[in-house]
Amino acid sequence: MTVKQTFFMPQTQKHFEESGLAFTFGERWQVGKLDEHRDYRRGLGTLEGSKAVDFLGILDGRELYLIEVKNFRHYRIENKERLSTGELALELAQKVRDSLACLIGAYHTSDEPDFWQPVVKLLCHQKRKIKIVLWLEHDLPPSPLARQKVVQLVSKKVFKSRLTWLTSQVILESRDGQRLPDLQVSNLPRPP
Amino acid sequence: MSNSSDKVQTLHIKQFTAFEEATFQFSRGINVLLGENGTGKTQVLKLIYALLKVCETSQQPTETPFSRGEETFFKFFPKHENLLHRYLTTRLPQRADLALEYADVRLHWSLETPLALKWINPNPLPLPPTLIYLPAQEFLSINPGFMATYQKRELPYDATYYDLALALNALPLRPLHLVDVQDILEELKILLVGEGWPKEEILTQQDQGRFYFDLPEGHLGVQLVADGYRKLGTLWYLLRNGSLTNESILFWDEPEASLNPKWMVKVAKVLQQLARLGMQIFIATHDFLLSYELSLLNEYPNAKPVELRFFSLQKPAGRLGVIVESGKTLNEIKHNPIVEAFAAHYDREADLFYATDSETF
Repeated sequence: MTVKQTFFMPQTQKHFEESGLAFTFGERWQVGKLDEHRDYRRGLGTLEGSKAVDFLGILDGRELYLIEVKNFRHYRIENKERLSTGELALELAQKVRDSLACLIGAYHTSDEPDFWQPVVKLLCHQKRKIKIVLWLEHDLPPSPLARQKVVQLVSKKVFKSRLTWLTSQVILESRDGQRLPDLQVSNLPRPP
Repeated sequence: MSNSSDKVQTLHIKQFTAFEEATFQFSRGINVLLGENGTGKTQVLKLIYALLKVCETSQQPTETPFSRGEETFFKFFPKHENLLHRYLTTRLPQRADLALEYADVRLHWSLETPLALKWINPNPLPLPPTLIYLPAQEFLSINPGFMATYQKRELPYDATYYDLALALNALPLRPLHLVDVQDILEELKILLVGEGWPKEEILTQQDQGRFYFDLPEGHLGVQLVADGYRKLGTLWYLLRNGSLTNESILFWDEPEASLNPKWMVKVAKVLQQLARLGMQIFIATHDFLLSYELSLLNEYPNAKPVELRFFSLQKPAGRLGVIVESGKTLNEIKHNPIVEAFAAHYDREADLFYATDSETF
């Protein structure tokens, strides 16, 4: 099967590896890697500076998700983007922006516009909110789940503030306390 | 004469207000009380303060020193049977027990009906150091004429306010006597006026207890200055006039009231410096930032750690009284109402995020 046929078919690949994590989506999802799709690579991806989110998904046939993964576990501190400077929030917002452009551009220029149609239909449906998920893993000292939620709450507010032009539905997810449904996430073994 | 090593060590309460029975083992440095409204945080602060004042008054050379000390208690609490813990069945006990361990001396009183505080062990006592109680709201604006009015009129303020007015009344010390607190004064000054402000005195007292700030904006009476400035200005002035020293015990109720979150981080640092100086501090707070900034002091201790302890007060449904949980960091506290409220907010937003469109519309 070619990539174009496999992207959003319910029976196709649901297991992906990204940033040291293994994502296995269940039956409720139609999902693919946006930044690896042919229409992105030969379309918007050729424009310098463009960047797309990691996953594009449709949940239950009715909710459009853009999912970006950041795994800071085992990173040296100087490589980590600091929340307080807003770099990470800006990067996420730019990726979301470019991803939307990619979807619209692909619909207009792809050899198979019917393939993108369900996505664009959701994108342009005024009553259907686009959902943005930042999957963020990092090494924090162990602390009670409630405290982690507070940290995520503050982080989420920072990300939200850069995405108000599109949606207020922005959430942070991680393996601790995951609520994103029908999805298993695990660490990949670290290379020696 | 008090000794800088004299600290409040424990408080034991039995059948007093919201407490059926509770014991607090305090740190020599910073003690932080958390809890929902009505769990008795402020009452604990006032109780320690009041009992230390009872000790102080009981040592005055009068014919009946101990009974005079007993009467002092009711300058801080209303003389009403509601001070005794009310059981769910509304049956009132006839007696509450209060015990304070201070400077390795155990002090014990009963509170009995008809309402009176009685010494159980009236022995020679260590004289408590300077006590300062800072209320949640700022005091500078009501200071003018307060002491004279308080002595004659029935004001809706307990004696902690009178004591604060008395402390503010003292003139500034000569710089020679401020060596120990100079860094803290400078820290507070930078917080209020920024770096490089040339004037040393940012707050001065003039006629009849009126205070004036010297800020980049000008020479301003307190009525023209924000509440947050008045609160931190009070702390600055009490250090400046020697009312707060390394031997003092500071009680601060809700420091966060009227202060913006960025200032709370600085306040946590000032509290750390005061504790490092030798001051024992008791705080009641609802503030996430302040409590967690302080918790970081123990989560990431440096070469000169300050002693710090948290107390979470809760009143579970069906229980007769407030229960107390304590820990050296907030991570050791299982019931933290501040975090629980934020985490519940997080969950509510996640519920909205994951609600299906049919539910949303």
